[in-house]
Amino acid sequence: MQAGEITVDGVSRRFRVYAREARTLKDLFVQRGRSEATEVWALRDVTLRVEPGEAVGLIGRNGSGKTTLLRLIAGIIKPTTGAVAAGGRIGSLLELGAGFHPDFTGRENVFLNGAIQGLRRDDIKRRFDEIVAFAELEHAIDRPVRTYSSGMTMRLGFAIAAFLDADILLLDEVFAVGDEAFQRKCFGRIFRFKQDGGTIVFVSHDAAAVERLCERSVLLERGRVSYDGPTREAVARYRRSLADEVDPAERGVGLREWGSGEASIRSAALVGREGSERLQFLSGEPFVVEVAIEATPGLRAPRLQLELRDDAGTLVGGEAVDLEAIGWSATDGSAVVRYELDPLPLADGRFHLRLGLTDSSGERLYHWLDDALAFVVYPGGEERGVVRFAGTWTLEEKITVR
Amino acid sequence: MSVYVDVLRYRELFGSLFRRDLRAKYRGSVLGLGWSLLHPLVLMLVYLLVFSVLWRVAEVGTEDYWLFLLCGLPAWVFFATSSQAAARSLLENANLIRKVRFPRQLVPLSIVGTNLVAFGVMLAVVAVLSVATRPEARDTVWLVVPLGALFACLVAGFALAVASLNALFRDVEHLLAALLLPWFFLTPILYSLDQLPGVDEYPVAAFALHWANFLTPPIEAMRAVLFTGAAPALADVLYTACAALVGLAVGAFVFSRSDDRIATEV
Repeated sequence: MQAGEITVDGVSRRFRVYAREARTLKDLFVQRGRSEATEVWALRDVTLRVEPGEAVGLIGRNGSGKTTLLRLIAGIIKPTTGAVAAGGRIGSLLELGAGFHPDFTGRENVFLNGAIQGLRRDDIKRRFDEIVAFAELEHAIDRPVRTYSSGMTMRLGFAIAAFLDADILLLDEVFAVGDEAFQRKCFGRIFRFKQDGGTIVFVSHDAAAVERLCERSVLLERGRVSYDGPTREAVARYRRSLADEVDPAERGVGLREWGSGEASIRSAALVGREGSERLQFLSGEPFVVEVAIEATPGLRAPRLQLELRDDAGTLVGGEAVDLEAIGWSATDGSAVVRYELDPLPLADGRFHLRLGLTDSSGERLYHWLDDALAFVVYPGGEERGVVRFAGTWTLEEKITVR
Repeated sequence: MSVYVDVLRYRELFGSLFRRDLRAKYRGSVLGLGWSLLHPLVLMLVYLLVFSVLWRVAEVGTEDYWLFLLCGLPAWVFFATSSQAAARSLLENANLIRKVRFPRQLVPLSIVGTNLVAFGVMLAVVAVLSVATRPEARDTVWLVVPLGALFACLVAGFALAVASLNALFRDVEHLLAALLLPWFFLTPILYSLDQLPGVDEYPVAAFALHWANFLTPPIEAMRAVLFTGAAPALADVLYTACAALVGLAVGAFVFSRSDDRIATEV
């Protein structure tokens, strides 16, 4: 079994649910013979294979078996039938700050929690400063954890788990907490883990969060796999299954387009460094937009406009190009245009790409795609805000105060 | 036996849990470890007052009754506090057990470990007192180390079994608490088995007290080397060794049978 590989083979898991909260010996003797347990199959015949380096989302309604599957992969519980195997070290972020002792200082809890997660003391010592810096707790690390706010506890919990050096990272909906900036920082950290070849299994009923991270998703319905494939499709099916519960704001996002249609954008895609399509980038990475265009024969080469807006709709930047100037004579009908940005000058946030085709004067609109693509940029290091400043710091003169 | 091999394999984690439990137990108390000595000390003073000063029953051929008491108490205190604390340990760490994969037997075993420290300190104090006041025990005192180690194995297995059962049946800890008081009086700590006046009339009862209570042989053996200064009875030593092995095996068996359910039911 390769490190980072997960196989789930015909797995079912049964839970016995008792009418009363906790079973006691008394019940066992007093109510002998009268079984009050009902059997619940949380998972039924689930088969799944995750390759090293893949990021797979598990989506589904509450009670569809997502968390049970995650706990099976983590090895916390065993399948009733079937087999689960996972190669390499597993880091699990099923609950942030699980096992913190309130009377101990942050420092002591880092070591304790690291040990529980399977880290050696030397490893923790080596990464200690990084963990504390990531959690932004330099000032509070020697205070007892009971004096921390819940946000601080979460940050520390995340930071420990994020620096585990795992081959597989299991994530439950842990990002519901903490402020938004920290959430993005967490995503950035996880995204980098993925870039480095780590395997991720991410459970959420927040489809947008899954889309940010995973190309492939598994849709679970009542304990069975009802779809396994591209996230976009899985999310679409999931949304359909809860059509009336969908947030109206989410429903509005989609293609909004208009234009005369003499030339049109057939498809648009963002391509990462490795040459495949994705919708998440680290700040400063190479960034490529590929646009396929079709024009009715005889049309003069159109002009392609590209605009980037942030989530609030503010224009971040835009460019336009006359396709004739880069060597396209529209006589052959279609073409693929590449727009390359290296390094990507965005720092942090979610962005929307608008694409437009006009004639060379810009007056006649052939095709306009209002929200062609939405993508996320994670800070790769200490960048903040929208724009990535790639400045350099130097020390010109040093004045020593005596 | 992989249940215990994991303790070695995960010794760093065991060390961390052990330090946590140790410090959680004694943190914030000026007396620190002294607290764990206070308990047997108070017990001893009370029993001394009742049985030796007021009632005067315990003078049946025993001089230094206070030391006699003190020789039997550490093992009992270790057994009782370990199993009671271990019984609750899995439930107290429920959110960890449900969310993280790690060898869960380390939780109760580390509780036993912290109590073992107190046990060691108590035995050391008793050994020093014994050497100081009873010259005849001078040559045999060291034997308490292997006997104590065997006893610790027995307690570890018992505590692991109780902890596993309590995760499945929540009233096990209450049952245990209710059993401990009669159990204490049925264990020869306040008295010595062969000095009980009724022994000759009820040989079956005496036999049962000795061999059906798995605490009796180890306590008799430890008291022999600490107090009497005689070699412990071979039968007691063999019984203790077997009890240690059986205890560990039962603990491992109960734990492995319930391990999977522990994660879902704590």
